[in-house]
Amino acid sequence: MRAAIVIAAKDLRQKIGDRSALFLAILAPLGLAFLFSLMIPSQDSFHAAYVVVDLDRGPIAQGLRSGPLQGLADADVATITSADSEAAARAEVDAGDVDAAIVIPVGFSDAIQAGQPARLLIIGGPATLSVEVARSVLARFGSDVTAVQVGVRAALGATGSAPEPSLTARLARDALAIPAPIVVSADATAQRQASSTTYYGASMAVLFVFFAAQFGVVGLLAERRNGTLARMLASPIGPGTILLGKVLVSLVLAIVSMTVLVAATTILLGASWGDPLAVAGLVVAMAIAATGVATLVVGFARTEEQAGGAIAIVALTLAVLGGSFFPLSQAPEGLAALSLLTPHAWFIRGINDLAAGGGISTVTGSLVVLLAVGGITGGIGLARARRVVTP
Amino acid sequence: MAEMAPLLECRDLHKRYGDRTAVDGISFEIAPGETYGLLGPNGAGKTTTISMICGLLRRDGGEVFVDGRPVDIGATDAKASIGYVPQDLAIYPDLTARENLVFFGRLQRMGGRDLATRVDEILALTDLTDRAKDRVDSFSGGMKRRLNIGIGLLHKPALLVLDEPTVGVDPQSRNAILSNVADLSREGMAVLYTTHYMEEAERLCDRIAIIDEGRIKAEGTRRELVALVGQRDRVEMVASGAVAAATTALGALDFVEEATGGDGRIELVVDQARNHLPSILETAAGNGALVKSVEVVEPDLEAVFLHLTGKALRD
Repeated sequence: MRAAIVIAAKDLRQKIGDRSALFLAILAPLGLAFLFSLMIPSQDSFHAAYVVVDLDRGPIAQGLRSGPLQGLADADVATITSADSEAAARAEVDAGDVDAAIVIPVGFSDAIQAGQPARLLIIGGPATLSVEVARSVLARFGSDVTAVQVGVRAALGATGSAPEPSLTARLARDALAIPAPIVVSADATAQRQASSTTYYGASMAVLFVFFAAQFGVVGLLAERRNGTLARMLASPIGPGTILLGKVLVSLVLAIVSMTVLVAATTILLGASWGDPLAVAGLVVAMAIAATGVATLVVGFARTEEQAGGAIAIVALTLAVLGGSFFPLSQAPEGLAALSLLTPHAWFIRGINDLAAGGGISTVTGSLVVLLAVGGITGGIGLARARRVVTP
Repeated sequence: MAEMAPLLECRDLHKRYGDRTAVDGISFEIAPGETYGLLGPNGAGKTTTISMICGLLRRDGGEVFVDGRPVDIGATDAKASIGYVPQDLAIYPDLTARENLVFFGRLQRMGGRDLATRVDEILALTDLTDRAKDRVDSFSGGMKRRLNIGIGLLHKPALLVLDEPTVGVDPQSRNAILSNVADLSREGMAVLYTTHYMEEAERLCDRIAIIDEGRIKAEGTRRELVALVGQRDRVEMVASGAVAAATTALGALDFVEEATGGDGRIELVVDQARNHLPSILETAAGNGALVKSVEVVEPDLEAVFLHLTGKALRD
């Protein structure tokens, strides 16, 4: 073990002076995590601005404004302002002051009360997500209105009397005031999604940990090329000691890379990773998994260039499949299922679990899978890599 | 010397790479303090042989013992007695000379003050003390070579294995390397030296094995090897005076096999000419010849190699 530590210490000493290692292990993932979190707004930070033009001023229009639209404002999801005309609202959209304008045309309430089709106008700016939210809210209101119309017609049909406008209006108001019979509530499990900063920090950490981990075990091939491997083997140490030394380097670099990412995204970008003990467990398990995969690749490679290229391909492929570039909740069902074959998905899953407030016990599944990946790939890799040491 | 208990004992070593036999039944011994040369052309099996001796390569057959202990890839105790100097530089260019020495010293189970002292000694021995803190990639080729050899000497091994240490080395550095090896041998270190340079084998080695196509073709001292091909020393003299009479008298001596003379020159074929030089000069002078110069030309290993393998050493 002492000789393995001597080998690892020598390698780490060399890596400290190696700027490419510093870049790949720390600077690149940190920079990309920062860029991703800037480019893709998180769901928890979503906020839209709408301007409403109420040209109708009828009871249904009032219901829309005081109901769903006020609800958005109360939930701090959107800022709702008013404008006097469609032209004024359109000017605000064009100027970028608001994300979208909602125009309630003249006769809107009357049309609905008369059982006639009515129309709402959304004038959208470039923020498509905000426009989609507005469209969704109005569509939902439209469904409610349809239900009210059906109810009013049923009520009028039961009385058998001719439609009386005041009665129709009262029935409509009463129907709109009825609370929804089914309320969907979301518990913590359903909401387990880390903030975008945390998510992309974790994604980049898990992507680049493979590049960090490669520096140890790939060094075995470089030592063979340089002749220093033979010189080490001529020393009173066994081949297993040399392999252990290289694996230690990979593990240390992988853990340092991920730890720096966790700390830096927390301090600089405001990421919230969750329970420190559980995060540490996930980081160590992921480092073991990445080291195992890197060792497996080295076991089948002939040169360090070949191994480096193969590890890059494996890391990027697993990253795409494992949800490092987009949340798996937005991925097709098949890809989401496939992602479970990657350590990336299990690590991110663990981080998402922690975002919901869980502790070390919450991420047991992720830990077991990551350690199993590291054990299996590392075991095969070491068996193959032994041939590199002793041809 | 060979009657001492051998420090290195190789028995019937075999190694194959696919269909090609690299080493085919090599056996030899080296006594403490003996310098033993493996002389052969590139591809003869020298490096494969020493790789098996140093425990770097799995054998297909045979045994190796160093100081009575069997050597294998995992035989850590036996390896502690071996100092290995590979043919190509095996050092870290991005570390300093001292860092290289300390690293390999620690792998040799050295540490603390002993290691620090020994590193200083090696730096002095290799004339690198002033450059100890410099990165190796700033060194000249000769300095790197010296460091490469110094690492092999760190732990004062009983057996030093040098694999063609002078390949690609300038004449000055080569001379220094050969002198160092000779000094180490005089201090009692057993040396296994592979080379394809005949002059180095003749200069350094107490015994030489001529190796070709994975087999030892012949083994012995330089004189024993030369004797195998029946060649004798030649004595070439430039003289004046009674050259013809002196030639006749010299030809009559028991140890002179052949004598020719004329035009101020006398040439003799003699066994072990250096031992008989005083008698030769005395006889020439006694018969009226004034000897102005004398040169002894001994048969070399090139001729032996050609005789044994049918090809030149540098083929």
